Amino acid sequence: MSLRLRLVATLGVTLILLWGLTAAWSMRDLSTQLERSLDQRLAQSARMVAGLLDRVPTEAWNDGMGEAPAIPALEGVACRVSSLRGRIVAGTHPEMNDVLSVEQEGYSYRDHNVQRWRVYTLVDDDKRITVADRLRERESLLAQVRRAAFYPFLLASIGSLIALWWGVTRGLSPLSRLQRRLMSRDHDDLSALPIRGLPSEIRPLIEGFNDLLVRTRRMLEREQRFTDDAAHELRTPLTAIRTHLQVARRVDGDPRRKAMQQAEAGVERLTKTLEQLLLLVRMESEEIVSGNGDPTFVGEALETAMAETGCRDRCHWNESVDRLRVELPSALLIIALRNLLENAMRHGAPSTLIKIEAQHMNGMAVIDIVNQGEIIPSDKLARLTERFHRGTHPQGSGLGLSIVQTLAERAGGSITLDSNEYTPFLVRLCLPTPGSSNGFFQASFGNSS
Amino acid sequence: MRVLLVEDDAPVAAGIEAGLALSDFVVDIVTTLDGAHGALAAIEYDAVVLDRRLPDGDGLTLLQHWRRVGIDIPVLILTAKDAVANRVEGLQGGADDYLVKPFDLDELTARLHALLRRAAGQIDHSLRHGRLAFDPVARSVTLDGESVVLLRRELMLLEALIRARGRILSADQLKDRLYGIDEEIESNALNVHIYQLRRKLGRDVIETVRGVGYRLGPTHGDTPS
Repeated sequence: MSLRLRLVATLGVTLILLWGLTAAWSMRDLSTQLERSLDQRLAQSARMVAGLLDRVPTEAWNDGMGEAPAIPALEGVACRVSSLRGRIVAGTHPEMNDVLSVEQEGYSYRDHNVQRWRVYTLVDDDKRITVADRLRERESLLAQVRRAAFYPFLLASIGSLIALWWGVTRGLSPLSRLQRRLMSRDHDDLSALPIRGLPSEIRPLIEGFNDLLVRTRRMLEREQRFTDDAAHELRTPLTAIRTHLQVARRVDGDPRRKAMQQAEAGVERLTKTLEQLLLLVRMESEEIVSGNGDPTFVGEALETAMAETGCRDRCHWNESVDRLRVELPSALLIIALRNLLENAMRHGAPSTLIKIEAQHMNGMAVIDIVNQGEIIPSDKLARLTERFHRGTHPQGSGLGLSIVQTLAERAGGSITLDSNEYTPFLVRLCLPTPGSSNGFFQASFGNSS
Repeated sequence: MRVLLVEDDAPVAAGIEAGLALSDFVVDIVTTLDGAHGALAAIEYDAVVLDRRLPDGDGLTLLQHWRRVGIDIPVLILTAKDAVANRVEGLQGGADDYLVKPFDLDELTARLHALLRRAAGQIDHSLRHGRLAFDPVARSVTLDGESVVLLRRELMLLEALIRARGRILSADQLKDRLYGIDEEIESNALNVHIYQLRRKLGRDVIETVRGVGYRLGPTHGDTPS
């Protein structure tokens, strides 16, 4: 049911009911009032007759023993004057004896020839005056008054209903405009809806809707970028493999060996990218089972990570690394450290030192990995944790820092990057230590390498 | 034929270079938009193979710039984006052709040949000059319908001269088409190739324009002596 119909129906029915009740009440009141005033008129006419008779000498109507004078009859009104003993002195309608022969003073109803009369009898000294009104006349008067009152009421009711329809339509017109605009939009149109001219009731709704659109648009853009990036990162090594294999098929000897080597290097790179990508996706989507896995010594994990990346000679770390423990399965800590070390090796100039410092701070294990190299401007620094963003060095998948970030965040920690003249490139990895309330992190990851 | 390859991924670039070299293309590799711009200004290329995703920007912006300033060199775009919208965008941006990675080397070569053919206004793929016919794809030459065996550089030299369509090419321009930037060239190498061509195809197949360069001789050509 449309809002307009609902509003018009509710308000319309209420309005008609109210008008109807008012009308019924005033009609009822009207007939009571009319009856009362006509009764008063009846009594007044009886008194008027009595007053007239008072001025006539008594003999004038006491002596006459003959026929009582008959006054010509008026339609719908009757009158009779009689003595207390019952002798009729004067009157209209001599045949209406049954109506006019009332002895008791006061109002009463009488029937004559299936017609109802209102009768009033006044006893004044020695005479009795009875007047009567035919009810049919009274009723037709009442009907006339009612008719006169009913037409304005009808007109007002219809007028209010029309005004109501118009008002509701006009009031809801911003909604109708909005509806038309929404219906004519392309299904993939994500541009914001105009706020101007909207009533304050639905403005927050549309503002919220626009916010949602902006967020959706950003999300779609991010997804699109990710898809493009993933396509690029996967297709590029595939291209290298394919072209080198095709070259290898057509040449012999040394060039063939070289082409095969290049193809193999391409396979290796593709494998690595795929592994990193799968790791990242799994880390984001996989259900993490919380439990109390054994905490991992940072020192041990660092040893393994250095051995796997082959950078032990370039690394320098402080003793506290060996004592520090984090609430993270060792396989995951090794993945994080290995990615950070690989990153430091790529960014740092060859054979420069990679410094690793670890400390316990506010219930968190803080691991700093610093390498020498060019200083990265802050706007570029912010983009480094984006997926597939590779900075300026073309090796690597561009996923390492994203993986570490995802891992740290899911473990209840964080990573921050910094680049200045003292620490050309610093990655600070914060992870919860055992006993801190940041929760456990036991994932169902296998060994990724 | 000399091709400029703009590709920042070294293994891919090496593969394409090796593959195109098999079809006698001379390939120069640059890895950035800046490098591509500089190379195109310095050397006369027959075609450009342009990757879209480069460290200093989108290859398409460079291409659009080239087209705006009237550089009409045939350009084939390489990209990992395979959506129809991306292809349309690439072609509307001024590309003559579009290949999605990973591609087949044969397809790349065939498309490059097609681009060169179209740029030269040819209808079929063989280039003719009088009684000479040169098939750039099969790398074969016939004189009066008789097949003539030419070495790789001789073929490349003949191709350059045929494609020049009577225009005079200087010794440097000819060397550009025969050798890559970092290839060592012996001082008399070009003369040796010209001598061999004249020996195999007839004396006046190549005409020397003293002090300027070389061009193909009058269309009839001489029968080999």
